[in-house]
Amino acid sequence: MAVTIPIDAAPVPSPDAADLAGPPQRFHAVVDRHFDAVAGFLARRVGPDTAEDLAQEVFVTAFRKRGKFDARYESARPWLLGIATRAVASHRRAERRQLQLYQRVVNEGAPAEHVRADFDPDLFAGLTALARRDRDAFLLHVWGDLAYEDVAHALDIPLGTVRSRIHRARRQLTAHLGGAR
Amino acid sequence: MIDTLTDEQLASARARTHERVNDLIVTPRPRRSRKLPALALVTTAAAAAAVAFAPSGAPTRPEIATAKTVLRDFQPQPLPTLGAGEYYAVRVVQRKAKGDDEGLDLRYWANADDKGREVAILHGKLRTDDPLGAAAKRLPPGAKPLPAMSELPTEPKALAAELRERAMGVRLDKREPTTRDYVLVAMQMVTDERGTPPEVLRAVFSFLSGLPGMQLVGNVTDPLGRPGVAVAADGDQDSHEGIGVELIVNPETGRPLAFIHYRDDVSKPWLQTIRTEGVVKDTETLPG
Repeated sequence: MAVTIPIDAAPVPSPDAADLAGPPQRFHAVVDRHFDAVAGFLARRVGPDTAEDLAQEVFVTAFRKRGKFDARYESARPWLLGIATRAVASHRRAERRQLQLYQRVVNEGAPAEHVRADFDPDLFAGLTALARRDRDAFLLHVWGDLAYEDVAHALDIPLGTVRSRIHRARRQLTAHLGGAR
Repeated sequence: MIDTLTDEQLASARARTHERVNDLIVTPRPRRSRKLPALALVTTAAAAAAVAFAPSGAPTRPEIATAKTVLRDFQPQPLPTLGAGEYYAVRVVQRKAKGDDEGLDLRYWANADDKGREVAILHGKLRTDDPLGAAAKRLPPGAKPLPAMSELPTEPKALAAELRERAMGVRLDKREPTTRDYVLVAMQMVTDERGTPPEVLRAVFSFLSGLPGMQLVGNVTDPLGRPGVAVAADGDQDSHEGIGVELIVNPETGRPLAFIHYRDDVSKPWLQTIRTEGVVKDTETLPG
């Protein structure tokens, strides 16, 4: 007698997992589902002009790496925001070198040094004072609206590390802002 | 205020993303064409002639042009000697390869006494207009000025150590600099407002010639249409770090013309840094 598995017991891939594992054309659905969230997150981190370009890079990278998406996760958003976070880091590294003239001559500081400077200067200063790893985890949580578990997925680090990084970031920010926020 | 993208910006960027995904689906991983054959042909022909007339009678192998041989054979010309009332003018424009953004436009004029003027224009708007050297004094507290190219040693070991230190200084991690990192450091010869001395250029070219993975692109024209010879180094195509870099040098003068950053499969120019230099009679005239 053949052994059958009840259909409702088989794991059903999420729409993101199915699209990422399917034919390449299905990647467009992933773009449509998550582009605005990724671009919005990037706009907060690097400003709208750069975010337009960088968001495209994120999805181009995701398209190439779509085979590496862990289908156990419901949504691709944490994975995409993880790519976005790494893109921000490498963008700044590249930009530091490419636009070193800008820093020297126009002297507005390195472009997009850590986060956009045109909002609350105290908050900006506090964020820039954070260690990069702590800042990345913290901003994925508060600007990317990711739960701790999703931040862990995005950054490919243990959950406990996420907790400690965000805790440390909060503590330092609170101290920087005089405990007022 | 927190930055946000407008609906129009989002729609436009999303549409471009779909187009790029379509490009990748249709033509996965395109590569920049290498224009090696033309240059190789010239060099090979010359080498063949050398074989034919070798006085010793012992034939030597003809040398095929490579990044190594091309870089090694550049003969950088000296900087101009300025007379009374003359200025060495440099213009460096850094802009995106596509779009109407005028980017960053830096202009320098230096006379024989190293006095002159420097102007910075960003996105078409004048940002600074100062005596030469003023900007370097306005660095934020704690910021280190960018070491000048002219300060580089020309002795090979000392040069290698100095370039490594500069390359490590711009890495986020502690890994050894890649060839691409070194080419990025050498990019400063394109942006050097005073002009890099020929002996330093020669030493840097020689250093680059010994790096693994240096590629000869071959005969090209720079973004201004000037003929040049390009060498390149690629990054990792699978990550945002996959930015290929290309240095274009005038083969006649051995002096840098432009630097191009490639993004997305190292197939599409993304950022152009273009240098023009020359001798002028005042601090208004741009180098030709």
